[in-house]
Amino acid sequence: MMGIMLNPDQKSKFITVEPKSVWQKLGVSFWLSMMWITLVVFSAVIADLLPLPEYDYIDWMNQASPPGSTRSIQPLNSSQAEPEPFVYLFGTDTMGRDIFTRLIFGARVSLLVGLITPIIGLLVGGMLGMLAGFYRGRLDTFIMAAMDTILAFPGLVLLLAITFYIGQNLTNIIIALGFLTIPSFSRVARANTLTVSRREFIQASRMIGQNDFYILIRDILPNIILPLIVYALFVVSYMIVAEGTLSFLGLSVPAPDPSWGGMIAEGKEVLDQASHVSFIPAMALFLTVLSFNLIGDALRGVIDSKDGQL
Amino acid sequence: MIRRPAGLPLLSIQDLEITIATDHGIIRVVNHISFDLHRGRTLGIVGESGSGKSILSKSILKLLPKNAQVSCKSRIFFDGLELNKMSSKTLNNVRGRRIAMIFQDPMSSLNPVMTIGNQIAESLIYHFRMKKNRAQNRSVGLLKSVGIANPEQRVRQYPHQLSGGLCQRVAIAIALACEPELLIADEPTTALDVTVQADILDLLTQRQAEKNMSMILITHDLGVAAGRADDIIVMYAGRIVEQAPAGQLFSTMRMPYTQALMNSIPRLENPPHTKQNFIKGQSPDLTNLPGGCSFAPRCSRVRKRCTRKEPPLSFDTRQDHLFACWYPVCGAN
Repeated sequence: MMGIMLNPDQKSKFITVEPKSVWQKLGVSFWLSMMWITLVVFSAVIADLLPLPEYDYIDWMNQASPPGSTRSIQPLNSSQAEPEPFVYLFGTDTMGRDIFTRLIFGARVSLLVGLITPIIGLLVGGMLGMLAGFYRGRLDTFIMAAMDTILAFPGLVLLLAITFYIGQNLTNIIIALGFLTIPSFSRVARANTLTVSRREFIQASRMIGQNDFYILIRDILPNIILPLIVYALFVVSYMIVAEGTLSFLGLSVPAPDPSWGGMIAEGKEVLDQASHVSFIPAMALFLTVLSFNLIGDALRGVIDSKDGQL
Repeated sequence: MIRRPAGLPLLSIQDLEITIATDHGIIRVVNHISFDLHRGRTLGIVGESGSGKSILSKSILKLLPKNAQVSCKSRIFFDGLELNKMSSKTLNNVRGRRIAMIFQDPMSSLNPVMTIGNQIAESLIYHFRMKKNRAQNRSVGLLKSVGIANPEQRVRQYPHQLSGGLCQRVAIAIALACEPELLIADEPTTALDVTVQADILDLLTQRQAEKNMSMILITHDLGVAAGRADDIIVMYAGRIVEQAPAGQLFSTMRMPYTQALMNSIPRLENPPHTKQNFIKGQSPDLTNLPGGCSFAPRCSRVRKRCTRKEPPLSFDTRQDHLFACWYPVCGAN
């Protein structure tokens, strides 16, 4: 910080004006979103340790019962003392499974898809975009043509083909969705690399004698990583929705494994009698997606104001 | 060619020709330029915007944009090495280590997301394989040597926290980190405040004298070159139009263009409301250069011959004073 000398007698004492800290700039919505995401992540991680019934335990006597109802009948093998009655916090779904449990286990699927998919896109797409933007010329044309081809390919058809031929499991879904995010990441990376590599400090780096690899990693990457990360956060929410859509169509994790989209789909038959079966997972999906978007927005705001200072 | 000091020149450029392919056709931005630069001497290159000065300086370190092409007949010798025939890999041992460069805009020639300490340490680590700690300590010393107060704090700051003048000092520290033999300063003061300009130029000349560096000082300001350069080259539309030792050039300029440049410098002793002299017209369109002398359309002494045939770079009375003009200005200025 540039110091401002107020009193000529104070020769060595400088008064520096500290700018608003980054944490303050982020705002309330950012912190509320962070709390929600932390809660979801935390419960998804420790789901196995929580005192919950199995996510595929079926209570035939309590089908689509509303939130707050209790388990009425004892399990058959209860010969010992009377177990405590279990309260279905969010009720049960059409097959009598605890929605709260399924919500928490379903969060695992949503989070895995939502977080790993953008990482694939970020790594592969970011690298391709950087190479295209830095070297230009034929390599650029080639990479961008490949990206356009992927963009033009209908994603749903690809996903259907993958589940049909390779098999329907979480890994395949993640890889397929990750593959589909590569073009957009490479476009963001390329656009940012184009502007950064035109800056003079890239030439200055070359003047020092650095090679291309070093310039890409040390000079260009740190300058484009923030926009890429902000974009990745938007892709996170987009991918959570995409996974929800896929499981709604029955293309994601196979049944009985819970996923939010699948849970919403299950409730669509009984929307008029027991709307909570669809509504509660939809709410969880909504809040999570909203949180990721708000976090992305807040971070983008911070980056933009930083650009203003330069 | 100026060959007063004995021995081989440090930098020798022979018949340099650079073309750039654009949408409007091929333009010849640097046209048959030759000069020598000896150790410890300063060469000033003066010219308007677009006269090819920056391209010329960037071609020495192969920092040209991709659409620029150096002619295969051109030769750039640096201490016996033919720079323009070297691969980028071997050239990287010369870049920053033996030839360094300072750019025009200090704000954009520093990496905004790296602390300035790291930016100075970078080339030390790269060229001298220095340990990170030692390089960091050294960069504090370097910042001090370019006249930055409390360098210990400055090394941890980012470029946006410094003023333009300080940034240019940092850029000089980076350039001088490996004690190069040749420093190319590409309009080092153009983006700076007038009061800071003199400081930066004094710093450069002082450091140059200490290390016995050679320097190429590129500027569009004759005044900047006047006090600091040993020899001066005046460029116009990609050509050398006048080349002479600084004293000689300022006492007797032969080329009308140099004289016009000189006359358009505002003078303090002028009475108020004196009409400012200027060179009429625009610098020529390089895609469509006029036949003959390219300065002819703007020249006050133009005659028929000027528009027909291009004047060669030649000398008459003094061997070290070259100029490209059919009807040179005579006598003292």
